[in-house]
Amino acid sequence: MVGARSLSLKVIGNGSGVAEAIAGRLTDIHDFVETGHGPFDLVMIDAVDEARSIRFLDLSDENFERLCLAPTIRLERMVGMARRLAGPSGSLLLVGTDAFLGKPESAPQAAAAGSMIQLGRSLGRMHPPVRCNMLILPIEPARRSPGMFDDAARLASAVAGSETLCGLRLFIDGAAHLDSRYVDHR
Amino acid sequence: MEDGWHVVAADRDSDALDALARSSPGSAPLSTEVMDVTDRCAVAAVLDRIGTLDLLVNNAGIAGKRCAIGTISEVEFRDVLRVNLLGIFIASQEAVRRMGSGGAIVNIASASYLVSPNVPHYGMTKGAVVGLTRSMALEFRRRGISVNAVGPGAIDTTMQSALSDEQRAHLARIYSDGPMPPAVIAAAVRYLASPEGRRARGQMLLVDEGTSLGIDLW
Repeated sequence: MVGARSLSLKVIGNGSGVAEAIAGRLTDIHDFVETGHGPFDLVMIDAVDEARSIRFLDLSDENFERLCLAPTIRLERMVGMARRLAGPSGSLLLVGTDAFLGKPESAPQAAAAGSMIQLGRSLGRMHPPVRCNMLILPIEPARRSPGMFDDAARLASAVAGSETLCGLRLFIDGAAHLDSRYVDHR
Repeated sequence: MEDGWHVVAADRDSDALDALARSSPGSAPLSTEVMDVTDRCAVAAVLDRIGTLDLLVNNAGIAGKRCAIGTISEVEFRDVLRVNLLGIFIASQEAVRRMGSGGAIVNIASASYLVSPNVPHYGMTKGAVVGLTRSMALEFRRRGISVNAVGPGAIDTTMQSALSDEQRAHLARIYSDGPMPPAVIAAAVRYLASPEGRRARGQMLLVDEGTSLGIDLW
Protein backbone atom coordinates (compact mmCIF):
# COMPACT_ATOMS: atom_id res chain seq x y z
CA MET A 1 0.00 0.00 0.00
CA VAL A 2 1.32 3.43 -0.89
CA GLY A 3 2.56 5.32 2.11
CA ALA A 4 2.93 2.21 4.26
CA ARG A 5 6.66 2.24 3.70
CA SER A 6 9.24 4.14 1.77
CA LEU A 7 9.31 3.29 -1.90
CA SER A 8 12.59 3.54 -3.72
CA LEU A 9 12.72 5.37 -7.03
CA LYS A 10 15.12 5.56 -9.94
CA VAL A 11 14.86 7.80 -13.01
CA ILE A 12 16.68 6.93 -16.22
CA GLY A 13 16.25 7.89 -19.83
CA ASN A 14 16.35 10.66 -22.36
CA GLY A 15 17.02 13.48 -19.93
CA SER A 16 14.26 15.68 -21.28
CA GLY A 17 13.61 16.90 -17.75
CA VAL A 18 10.00 15.70 -17.83
CA ALA A 19 10.53 12.52 -15.82
CA GLU A 20 12.73 14.40 -13.39
CA ALA A 21 10.04 17.03 -12.90
CA ILE A 22 7.51 14.30 -12.13
CA ALA A 23 9.93 12.51 -9.81
CA GLY A 24 10.57 15.74 -7.94
CA ARG A 25 6.88 16.04 -7.18
CA LEU A 26 6.61 12.33 -6.38
CA THR A 27 8.95 12.62 -3.45
CA ASP A 28 6.69 15.36 -2.09
CA ILE A 29 3.49 13.31 -2.37
CA HIS A 30 4.53 10.09 -0.70
CA ASP A 31 7.46 8.67 1.05
CA PHE A 32 9.49 8.08 -2.07
CA VAL A 33 13.23 8.11 -1.79
CA GLU A 34 15.75 8.29 -4.60
CA THR A 35 18.50 5.88 -3.73
CA GLY A 36 21.67 4.98 -5.54
CA HIS A 37 21.27 1.25 -5.89
CA GLY A 38 18.52 -1.23 -6.62
CA PRO A 39 16.37 -3.10 -6.71
CA PHE A 40 13.94 -0.19 -6.94
CA ASP A 41 10.21 -0.23 -6.36
CA LEU A 42 9.67 2.19 -9.23
CA VAL A 43 11.86 2.89 -12.24
CA MET A 44 10.78 5.82 -14.37
CA ILE A 45 12.02 5.83 -17.94
CA ASP A 46 12.07 9.16 -19.74
CA ALA A 47 11.08 8.39 -23.34
CA VAL A 48 9.92 11.89 -24.21
CA ASP A 49 10.15 12.62 -27.92
CA GLU A 50 11.88 15.69 -29.26
CA ALA A 51 9.36 18.28 -30.43
CA ARG A 52 10.50 19.27 -33.89
CA SER A 53 8.11 19.77 -36.79
CA ILE A 54 9.40 18.70 -40.20
CA ARG A 55 7.19 18.02 -43.20
CA PHE A 56 7.26 14.35 -44.19
CA LEU A 57 8.62 15.14 -47.64
CA ASP A 58 11.35 17.33 -46.17
CA LEU A 59 12.62 14.70 -43.73
CA SER A 60 16.13 13.47 -44.43
CA ASP A 61 17.29 9.97 -43.60
CA GLU A 62 19.37 11.62 -40.87
CA ASN A 63 16.24 13.23 -39.41
CA PHE A 64 14.54 9.85 -39.34
CA GLU A 65 17.54 8.28 -37.68
CA ARG A 66 17.80 10.98 -35.01
CA LEU A 67 14.09 11.34 -34.26
CA CYS A 68 12.95 7.73 -34.65
CA LEU A 69 15.49 4.93 -35.04
CA ALA A 70 18.05 6.11 -32.47
CA PRO A 71 15.42 6.86 -29.76
CA THR A 72 13.78 3.48 -30.38
CA ILE A 73 17.07 1.66 -29.96
CA ARG A 74 17.81 3.74 -26.87
CA LEU A 75 14.39 2.94 -25.41
CA GLU A 76 14.96 -0.79 -25.86
CA ARG A 77 18.26 -0.49 -24.01
CA MET A 78 16.76 1.64 -21.24
CA VAL A 79 13.88 -0.75 -20.66
CA GLY A 80 16.30 -3.67 -20.50
CA MET A 81 18.27 -1.75 -17.89
CA ALA A 82 15.10 -0.77 -16.02
CA ARG A 83 14.04 -4.40 -15.73
CA ARG A 84 17.29 -5.20 -13.98
CA LEU A 85 17.02 -2.12 -11.76
CA ALA A 86 13.44 -2.83 -10.77
CA GLY A 87 13.94 -6.37 -9.64
CA PRO A 88 11.47 -9.20 -10.14
CA SER A 89 8.40 -7.47 -8.76
CA GLY A 90 9.11 -3.82 -9.42
CA SER A 91 7.10 -1.32 -11.37
CA LEU A 92 8.23 0.38 -14.58
CA LEU A 93 6.78 3.67 -15.69
CA LEU A 94 7.39 4.93 -19.20
CA VAL A 95 7.07 8.68 -19.62
CA GLY A 96 6.32 9.46 -23.25
CA THR A 97 4.37 11.71 -25.56
CA ASP A 98 1.11 11.76 -27.45
CA ALA A 99 2.89 11.80 -30.81
CA PHE A 100 1.68 8.25 -31.51
CA LEU A 101 -1.85 9.60 -31.91
CA GLY A 102 -0.70 11.03 -35.19
CA LYS A 103 0.84 14.46 -35.44
CA PRO A 104 1.30 16.03 -38.85
CA GLU A 105 4.91 17.00 -39.52
CA SER A 106 6.04 14.68 -36.74
CA ALA A 107 6.13 11.30 -38.47
CA PRO A 108 9.39 10.02 -36.90
CA GLN A 109 8.21 10.94 -33.42
CA ALA A 110 4.82 9.31 -34.11
CA ALA A 111 6.66 6.12 -35.00
CA ALA A 112 8.99 6.25 -32.00
CA ALA A 113 6.10 6.92 -29.64
CA GLY A 114 4.13 4.08 -31.25
CA SER A 115 6.95 1.67 -30.50
CA MET A 116 7.00 2.86 -26.89
CA ILE A 117 3.28 2.20 -26.49
CA GLN A 118 3.62 -1.27 -27.96
CA LEU A 119 6.55 -2.09 -25.69
CA GLY A 120 4.77 -0.68 -22.65
CA ARG A 121 1.84 -2.98 -23.30
CA SER A 122 3.98 -6.03 -23.94
CA LEU A 123 6.25 -5.83 -20.91
CA GLY A 124 3.70 -6.97 -18.38
CA ARG A 125 3.01 -10.06 -20.49
CA MET A 126 6.70 -10.74 -21.02
CA HIS A 127 7.91 -10.60 -17.48
CA PRO A 128 5.15 -11.00 -14.90
CA PRO A 129 4.94 -9.93 -12.11
CA VAL A 130 6.82 -6.89 -13.41
CA ARG A 131 4.29 -4.16 -14.16
CA CYS A 132 4.68 -1.44 -16.73
CA ASN A 133 2.46 1.59 -17.27
CA MET A 134 2.76 4.73 -19.34
CA LEU A 135 2.34 8.42 -18.64
CA ILE A 136 1.50 10.28 -21.85
CA LEU A 137 2.13 14.01 -21.99
CA PRO A 138 1.88 16.45 -24.90
CA ILE A 139 4.90 16.37 -27.20
CA GLU A 140 4.88 20.16 -27.41
CA PRO A 141 6.58 21.57 -24.28
CA ALA A 142 4.35 24.65 -24.46
CA ARG A 143 1.30 22.45 -23.89
CA ARG A 144 2.70 20.99 -20.67
CA SER A 145 1.64 22.78 -17.50
CA PRO A 146 2.79 22.48 -13.88
CA GLY A 147 -0.61 21.00 -13.08
CA MET A 148 0.08 18.17 -15.52
CA PHE A 149 3.31 17.34 -13.70
CA ASP A 150 1.42 17.33 -10.40
CA ASP A 151 -1.16 14.94 -11.85
CA ALA A 152 1.55 12.81 -13.40
CA ALA A 153 3.17 12.43 -9.98
CA ARG A 154 -0.15 11.39 -8.40
CA LEU A 155 -0.68 8.77 -11.09
CA ALA A 156 2.91 7.57 -10.81
CA SER A 157 2.39 7.11 -7.11
CA ALA A 158 -0.77 5.10 -7.73
CA VAL A 159 0.75 2.71 -10.24
CA ALA A 160 3.90 2.27 -8.17
CA GLY A 161 1.86 1.12 -5.21
CA SER A 162 -0.40 -1.17 -7.21
CA GLU A 163 0.06 -4.87 -7.75
CA THR A 164 -2.52 -5.09 -10.52
CA LEU A 165 -2.30 -2.00 -12.74
CA CYS A 166 -0.39 -2.88 -15.87
CA GLY A 167 -0.28 -1.77 -19.51
CA LEU A 168 -2.18 1.47 -18.87
CA ARG A 169 -1.77 4.51 -21.05
CA LEU A 170 -2.50 7.43 -18.75
CA PHE A 171 -3.08 10.61 -20.73
CA ILE A 172 -2.17 13.78 -18.89
CA ASP A 173 -3.13 16.39 -21.42
CA GLY A 174 -6.27 18.19 -20.29
CA ALA A 175 -8.43 15.83 -22.37
CA ALA A 176 -6.70 16.80 -25.63
CA HIS A 177 -6.61 13.14 -26.64
CA LEU A 178 -10.40 13.20 -26.71
CA ASP A 179 -10.29 15.55 -29.66
CA SER A 180 -12.30 13.54 -32.17
CA ARG A 181 -9.34 12.85 -34.40
CA TYR A 182 -7.38 11.40 -31.53
CA VAL A 183 -10.01 9.15 -29.98
CA ASP A 184 -8.54 5.68 -30.01
CA HIS A 185 -10.55 2.85 -28.62
CA ARG A 186 -7.67 0.41 -28.45
CA MET B 1 -4.44 -7.90 -60.74
CA GLU B 2 -8.05 -9.09 -60.92
CA ASP B 3 -9.14 -5.45 -60.46
CA GLY B 4 -7.04 -4.29 -63.39
CA TRP B 5 -4.01 -3.15 -61.43
CA HIS B 6 -0.63 -3.48 -63.05
CA VAL B 7 1.34 -4.88 -60.14
CA VAL B 8 5.06 -4.35 -59.69
CA ALA B 9 6.39 -6.76 -57.08
CA ALA B 10 9.72 -5.75 -55.55
CA ASP B 11 11.84 -7.93 -53.31
CA ARG B 12 15.52 -8.34 -52.54
CA ASP B 13 15.06 -12.09 -53.09
CA SER B 14 15.22 -12.69 -56.84
CA ASP B 15 14.34 -16.37 -56.44
CA ALA B 16 11.10 -15.43 -54.70
CA LEU B 17 10.27 -13.02 -57.51
CA ASP B 18 10.96 -15.69 -60.11
CA ALA B 19 8.67 -18.09 -58.25
CA LEU B 20 5.94 -15.44 -58.14
CA ALA B 21 6.28 -14.80 -61.87
CA ARG B 22 6.15 -18.53 -62.62
CA SER B 23 3.04 -19.01 -60.52
CA SER B 24 1.17 -16.18 -62.26
CA PRO B 25 -0.63 -16.59 -65.57
CA GLY B 26 1.44 -15.46 -68.53
CA SER B 27 -1.09 -12.76 -69.34
CA ALA B 28 -1.05 -11.32 -65.80
CA PRO B 29 -0.14 -7.63 -65.58
CA LEU B 30 2.78 -8.33 -63.29
CA SER B 31 6.37 -7.21 -63.41
CA THR B 32 9.12 -7.77 -60.90
CA GLU B 33 12.02 -5.73 -59.59
CA VAL B 34 14.89 -6.86 -57.40
CA MET B 35 15.13 -4.12 -54.81
CA ASP B 36 16.23 -3.51 -51.23
CA VAL B 37 13.64 -1.22 -49.65
CA THR B 38 16.28 0.34 -47.39
CA ASP B 39 18.28 1.51 -50.42
CA ARG B 40 16.85 4.92 -51.35
CA CYS B 41 18.57 5.06 -54.73
CA ALA B 42 17.28 1.62 -55.68
CA VAL B 43 13.74 2.50 -54.58
CA ALA B 44 13.82 5.76 -56.54
CA ALA B 45 15.11 4.01 -59.65
CA VAL B 46 12.34 1.40 -59.53
CA LEU B 47 9.67 4.05 -59.04
CA ASP B 48 11.07 6.05 -61.95
CA ARG B 49 10.80 2.99 -64.17
CA ILE B 50 7.18 2.45 -63.07
CA GLY B 51 6.14 5.96 -64.00
CA THR B 52 2.58 6.66 -62.89
CA LEU B 53 1.97 5.31 -59.41
CA ASP B 54 -1.48 4.96 -57.85
CA LEU B 55 -0.90 2.59 -54.94
CA LEU B 56 2.04 1.72 -52.73
CA VAL B 57 1.84 -1.35 -50.49
CA ASN B 58 4.63 -1.36 -47.92
CA ASN B 59 4.85 -5.08 -47.32
CA ALA B 60 8.55 -5.71 -46.62
CA GLY B 61 9.14 -7.03 -43.15
CA ILE B 62 11.32 -9.35 -41.12
CA ALA B 63 10.62 -10.89 -37.73
CA GLY B 64 14.11 -10.68 -36.35
CA LYS B 65 15.53 -12.62 -33.46
CA ARG B 66 13.27 -14.00 -30.75
CA CYS B 67 14.83 -12.68 -27.57
CA ALA B 68 14.08 -10.64 -24.49
CA ILE B 69 14.20 -6.87 -24.30
CA GLY B 70 17.68 -5.62 -23.55
CA THR B 71 19.41 -8.72 -24.91
CA ILE B 72 19.47 -8.08 -28.65
CA SER B 73 22.55 -6.53 -30.25
CA GLU B 74 22.18 -3.10 -31.81
CA VAL B 75 23.13 -4.55 -35.19
CA GLU B 76 20.35 -7.13 -35.01
CA PHE B 77 17.76 -4.61 -33.82
CA ARG B 78 18.81 -2.17 -36.52
CA ASP B 79 18.22 -4.84 -39.18
CA VAL B 80 14.60 -5.16 -38.05
CA LEU B 81 14.13 -1.40 -37.74
CA ARG B 82 15.62 -0.71 -41.16
CA VAL B 83 13.41 -3.17 -43.05
CA ASN B 84 10.20 -2.72 -41.06
CA LEU B 85 10.36 1.02 -40.48
CA LEU B 86 13.02 2.86 -42.46
CA GLY B 87 11.89 0.98 -45.56
CA ILE B 88 8.36 2.30 -45.17
CA PHE B 89 9.67 5.83 -44.67
CA ILE B 90 11.88 5.69 -47.76
CA ALA B 91 9.39 4.01 -50.05
CA SER B 92 6.52 6.26 -48.95
CA GLN B 93 8.52 9.44 -49.35
CA GLU B 94 9.74 8.47 -52.81
CA ALA B 95 6.27 7.28 -53.81
CA VAL B 96 4.42 10.40 -52.66
CA ARG B 97 6.85 12.53 -54.64
CA ARG B 98 5.67 10.67 -57.75
CA MET B 99 2.02 10.20 -56.80
CA GLY B 100 -0.80 12.42 -57.93
CA SER B 101 -3.92 13.31 -56.01
CA GLY B 102 -6.03 10.26 -55.28
CA GLY B 103 -3.19 7.87 -54.59
CA ALA B 104 -3.14 5.40 -51.75
CA ILE B 105 -0.58 3.91 -49.40
CA VAL B 106 -1.22 0.75 -47.41
CA ASN B 107 1.30 -0.19 -44.74
CA ILE B 108 1.35 -3.82 -43.68
CA ALA B 109 1.73 -3.74 -39.91
CA SER B 110 0.75 -6.68 -37.71
CA ALA B 111 -1.78 -7.65 -35.08
CA SER B 112 1.23 -7.75 -32.79
CA TYR B 113 1.20 -3.94 -32.75
CA LEU B 114 -1.14 -4.42 -29.78
CA VAL B 115 1.08 -6.68 -27.72
CA SER B 116 3.84 -9.15 -28.57
CA PRO B 117 5.52 -10.80 -25.60
CA ASN B 118 7.33 -13.36 -27.77
CA VAL B 119 8.80 -11.09 -30.43
CA PRO B 120 9.16 -7.73 -28.68
CA HIS B 121 11.46 -6.08 -31.19
CA TYR B 122 9.25 -6.98 -34.13
CA GLY B 123 6.25 -5.76 -32.17
CA MET B 124 7.94 -2.43 -31.43
CA THR B 125 8.43 -1.81 -35.12
CA LYS B 126 4.79 -2.63 -35.82
CA GLY B 127 3.61 -0.26 -33.11
CA ALA B 128 5.78 2.33 -34.81
CA VAL B 129 4.15 1.62 -38.18
CA VAL B 130 0.75 2.45 -36.71
CA GLY B 131 1.98 5.81 -35.39
CA LEU B 132 3.70 6.53 -38.69
CA THR B 133 0.53 5.65 -40.60
CA ARG B 134 -1.56 8.10 -38.59
CA SER B 135 0.95 10.93 -39.00
CA MET B 136 1.30 10.34 -42.74
CA ALA B 137 -2.48 10.14 -43.16
CA LEU B 138 -2.93 13.53 -41.52
CA GLU B 139 -0.17 15.10 -43.53
CA PHE B 140 -1.29 13.81 -46.94
CA ARG B 141 -5.01 14.20 -46.38
CA ARG B 142 -5.18 17.51 -48.21
CA ARG B 143 -3.26 16.06 -51.13
CA GLY B 144 -5.96 13.44 -51.50
CA ILE B 145 -3.62 10.58 -50.70
CA SER B 146 -4.98 7.99 -48.30
CA VAL B 147 -2.66 6.24 -45.88
CA ASN B 148 -3.88 3.24 -43.90
CA ALA B 149 -2.52 0.05 -42.37
CA VAL B 150 -3.49 -3.59 -42.30
CA GLY B 151 -2.74 -5.66 -39.22
CA PRO B 152 -2.50 -9.32 -40.18
CA GLY B 153 -2.70 -12.10 -37.66
CA ALA B 154 -0.83 -15.31 -38.48
CA ILE B 155 -0.40 -15.64 -42.25
CA ASP B 156 0.87 -18.70 -44.05
CA THR B 157 4.21 -17.29 -45.23
CA THR B 158 7.86 -18.16 -44.83
CA MET B 159 7.84 -16.12 -41.59
CA GLN B 160 5.89 -18.98 -40.03
CA SER B 161 8.67 -21.44 -40.80
CA ALA B 162 10.62 -20.17 -37.79
CA LEU B 163 7.88 -21.24 -35.38
CA SER B 164 8.23 -24.18 -33.03
CA ASP B 165 5.87 -27.13 -33.16
CA GLU B 166 4.22 -25.86 -29.99
CA GLN B 167 3.60 -22.47 -31.59
CA ARG B 168 2.18 -24.08 -34.72
CA ALA B 169 -0.17 -26.14 -32.59
CA HIS B 170 -1.27 -22.98 -30.82
CA LEU B 171 -2.03 -21.25 -34.13
CA ALA B 172 -3.93 -24.29 -35.36
CA ARG B 173 -6.04 -24.07 -32.23
CA ILE B 174 -6.85 -20.36 -32.27
CA TYR B 175 -7.40 -19.95 -36.03
CA SER B 176 -10.26 -21.73 -37.73
CA ASP B 177 -7.98 -23.42 -40.25
CA GLY B 178 -4.44 -22.62 -39.15
CA PRO B 179 -2.55 -19.55 -40.38
CA MET B 180 -4.58 -17.58 -42.90
CA PRO B 181 -3.68 -17.52 -46.61
CA PRO B 182 -2.02 -14.32 -47.92
CA ALA B 183 -5.07 -13.73 -50.11
CA VAL B 184 -6.93 -12.63 -46.97
CA ILE B 185 -4.57 -9.70 -46.60
CA ALA B 186 -4.66 -8.98 -50.33
CA ALA B 187 -8.42 -8.57 -50.00
CA ALA B 188 -7.98 -6.05 -47.18
CA VAL B 189 -5.48 -4.11 -49.29
CA ARG B 190 -7.85 -4.26 -52.23
CA TYR B 191 -10.56 -2.64 -50.12
CA LEU B 192 -8.30 0.14 -48.82
CA ALA B 193 -7.11 0.79 -52.39
CA SER B 194 -10.65 1.01 -53.75
CA PRO B 195 -12.39 4.37 -54.20
CA GLU B 196 -14.57 3.55 -51.20
CA GLY B 197 -11.69 2.36 -49.06
CA ARG B 198 -9.69 5.48 -49.74
CA ARG B 199 -12.21 7.40 -47.64
CA ALA B 200 -10.59 5.67 -44.66
CA ARG B 201 -7.57 7.59 -43.40
CA GLY B 202 -4.99 6.64 -40.83
CA GLN B 203 -6.80 3.46 -39.86
CA MET B 204 -5.49 0.09 -38.77
CA LEU B 205 -7.56 -2.73 -40.24
CA LEU B 206 -6.98 -5.77 -38.04
CA VAL B 207 -7.43 -9.04 -39.93
CA ASP B 208 -6.82 -11.75 -37.38
CA GLU B 209 -10.03 -13.79 -37.00
CA GLY B 210 -10.59 -11.95 -33.73
CA THR B 211 -7.60 -13.48 -31.96
CA SER B 212 -6.73 -10.06 -30.56
CA LEU B 213 -10.09 -10.13 -28.79
CA GLY B 214 -8.91 -12.95 -26.57
CA ILE B 215 -10.08 -16.02 -28.45
CA ASP B 216 -7.19 -18.02 -27.08
CA LEU B 217 -8.69 -17.60 -23.63
CA TRP B 218 -11.70 -19.75 -24.48
